[in-house]
Amino acid sequence: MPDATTADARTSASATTGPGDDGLVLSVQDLAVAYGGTTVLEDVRLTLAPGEKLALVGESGSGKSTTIAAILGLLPGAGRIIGGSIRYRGQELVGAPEAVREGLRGQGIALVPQDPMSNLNPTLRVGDHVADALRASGRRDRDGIARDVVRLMTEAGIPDAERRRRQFPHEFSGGMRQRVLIAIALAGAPDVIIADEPTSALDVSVQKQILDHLEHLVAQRGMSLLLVTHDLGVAADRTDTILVMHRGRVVERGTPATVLRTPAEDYTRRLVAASPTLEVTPREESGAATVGPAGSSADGAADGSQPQAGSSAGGGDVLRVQDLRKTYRLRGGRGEVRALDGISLSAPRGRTTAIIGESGSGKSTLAKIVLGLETADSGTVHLDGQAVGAASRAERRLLRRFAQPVFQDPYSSLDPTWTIERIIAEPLAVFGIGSRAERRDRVAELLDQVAMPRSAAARLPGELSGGQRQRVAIARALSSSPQLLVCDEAVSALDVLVQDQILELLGDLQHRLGVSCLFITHDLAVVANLADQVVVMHRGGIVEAGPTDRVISDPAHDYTRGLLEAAPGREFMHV
Amino acid sequence: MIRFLLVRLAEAATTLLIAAVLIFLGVRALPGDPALAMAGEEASPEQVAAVRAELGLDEPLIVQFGRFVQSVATGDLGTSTRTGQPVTQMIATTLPVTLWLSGLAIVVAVVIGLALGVLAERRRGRPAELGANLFALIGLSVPNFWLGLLAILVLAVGLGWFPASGYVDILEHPLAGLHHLALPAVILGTGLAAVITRQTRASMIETMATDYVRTARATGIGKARILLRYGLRNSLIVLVTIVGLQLGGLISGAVVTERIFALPGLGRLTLDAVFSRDYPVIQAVVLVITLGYVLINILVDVLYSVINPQIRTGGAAS
Repeated sequence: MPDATTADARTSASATTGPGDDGLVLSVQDLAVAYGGTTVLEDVRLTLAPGEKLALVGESGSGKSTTIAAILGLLPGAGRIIGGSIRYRGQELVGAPEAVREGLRGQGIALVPQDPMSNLNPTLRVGDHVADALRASGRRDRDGIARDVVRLMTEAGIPDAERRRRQFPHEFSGGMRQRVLIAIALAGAPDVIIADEPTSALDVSVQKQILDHLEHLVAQRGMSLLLVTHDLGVAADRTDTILVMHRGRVVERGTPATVLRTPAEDYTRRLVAASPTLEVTPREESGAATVGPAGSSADGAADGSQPQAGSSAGGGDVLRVQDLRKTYRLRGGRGEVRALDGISLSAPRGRTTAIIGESGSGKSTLAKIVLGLETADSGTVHLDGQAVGAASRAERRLLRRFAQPVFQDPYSSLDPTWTIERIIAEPLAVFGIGSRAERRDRVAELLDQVAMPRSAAARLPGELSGGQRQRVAIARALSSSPQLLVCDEAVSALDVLVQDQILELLGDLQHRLGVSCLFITHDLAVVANLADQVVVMHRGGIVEAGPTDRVISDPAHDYTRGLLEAAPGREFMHV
Repeated sequence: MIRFLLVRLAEAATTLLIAAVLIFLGVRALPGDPALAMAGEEASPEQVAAVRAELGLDEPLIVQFGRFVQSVATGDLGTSTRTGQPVTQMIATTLPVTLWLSGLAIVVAVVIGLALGVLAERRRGRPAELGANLFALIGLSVPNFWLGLLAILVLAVGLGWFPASGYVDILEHPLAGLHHLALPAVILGTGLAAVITRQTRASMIETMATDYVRTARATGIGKARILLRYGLRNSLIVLVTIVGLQLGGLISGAVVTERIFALPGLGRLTLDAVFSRDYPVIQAVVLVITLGYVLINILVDVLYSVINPQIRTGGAAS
């Protein structure tokens, strides 16, 4: 329970403001925001009644973040509100003095921010974050604060809070950090919680736990929730009303059922269509809908008799991994982490094999070993029948040419000072393929293949959007005509619509070029329509492998079932 | 932490031993013969040889080095060939002067640098930032011997606010001592203050734009607390590294500053010793300075791990 000081502060706060005439906690009317001379937000209206849960859905750049920054009074740099009103319990906030707004932040309206990795001060003990939030709401008694820190952390779902409050953020996992951020938001006993993509950086199962917990806390305290997300599934599962934002405007509002099933706006329809679901549509193009014999065992071996769509080099496995092990030693001799614990799998040629796993499952270690960026402690990797690792220097070079990567973040995986042409031609230059003129022609051809204008060759990565950059990354990976593309979370950083386009491009390229693909991701839904077979990894081992539709419709392992159940939006999108 | 310190100390000891070898060889590689210098220009070859034997310079290098290390280890740094005084005693009288001068200069630099750096970040695009940047530019580009001469001319000789030269033991007469050291310390600290100003401004701009500062603001935490606990505390991580690197420059700056303000410190002792090829003194002074460097580095490492918990607790997630 809050002590007397907080109780006083809170009474006086509500006494001066009073409840809104219309009983609303938060009411935003015709809000317009500009950065410098550019209007980025217009006619935004939203209201929150006590206990109401509202979702703000949109892609990056749609104005979601600007809306909440305006509500919190934290517009960055040259941003300012140029019209409309924001009322908290009837009190106008637009034009209100900074002291009023600062007093409301945390106590009236609190924020649960997006990225748990960057939102905690690395030099401050976890408990001190919560203590600072308590002090911000006027608390001064040391012992009471210490008690409440433990109470709030425990309520946010952090076990052993008495000990863990003395730890630093880097000693917490992502999910636990997000719980700390929730504890901070709860410290001021606010009536409105703004949750800004609170779980998008977390694994699906952790995401579910945290959202469940947040929902419970919000309901328990009668708070209102404004959930900002790019994920229609999350929005549908967690809120009463969905607002869809596009280019700084609210384009659609309604209950989850209406917005998802009968969207009125074209944009919403596209958004719903592009959202990854766990449905597998039967494939017409390749005859055989699945790969491998029905009920193929966990070793995932494919027989060579399958028709190989567009494959140039005959059947067989493009990648074979046998009993692969890798252990990382922790710094300062404090134990080891078994990243790969003797895994075996194979990927058929001309197909997409998805490796699914949460962080720490070992999936990225596997990718690095396949790419030759890491060496395994034991076990073998065969690319196209040739052993990696045992190979000589020259052979390793050839193998590098054989498997090429597409990484997650298209912003950091392209050198910002290089032109697109130079980036795409780099593997050619490295492997000494072709003359200068031939390389130039090849770049033009590749740009065509990834549906980019040829004029892009002269531009710099900074001039391109995220989706375009990822197309460039794919073109670069394809330039040396590799047999295998290793896509490590290649669409995870992209917006839903762009994600959909890139997945379509990858499927199309596979069909046309016959390139095989190892698609590493944490999100089963993303690959449901792309992958022919999936391998589910957990804690360095493989728990399940098989054809995609079989694994999704009839998972054999509890862990896979858990993953499928944790995927958001099942109720509305899996019909 | 203990383990960390032990490792650092072992490293420091190795560094010192290597430094001792280099110093020993370096001094002997200098042109000029100390025995000749001691015996005088008119001395006969026999006399020079006698002096050489007396100094042990006629023995093989390895024997000389062994003797050197042995005596250093027992705190005996030899006898000055110029004054005949024990070197240990000479250093004991001059070292405190340099330590006080450098220490005060660091205090001056940190106080001015942090204040101006934070001010520049808080008042971005306003005259205050321009002023701080201007100070940093001048502090970095104007050599401190010139600044020192100017200060003596205006503040000491012209206005008479400070003594132009000389040293008073700060422990015996704190006020007079401070009065004498104030001007040299400010002059010596200016360059470092400029570096700290720039660095503080740059890292504060970066830190204040982080997500955790925004979250702290969204939590309603007060401005001052955010500035100190969230902004400055994280900016210090970069700052300590930079300052640690710059402290070496402070020692060479002290040599010049001591010369200008006629302070009887280590710098002046070094210069005198070099001019008269006073091997034992040169060796000892360089060794002391090396020790200073090594100790500063350990201090910076320790400070760094105090400020940055990721280093203290080993970086890995629990």
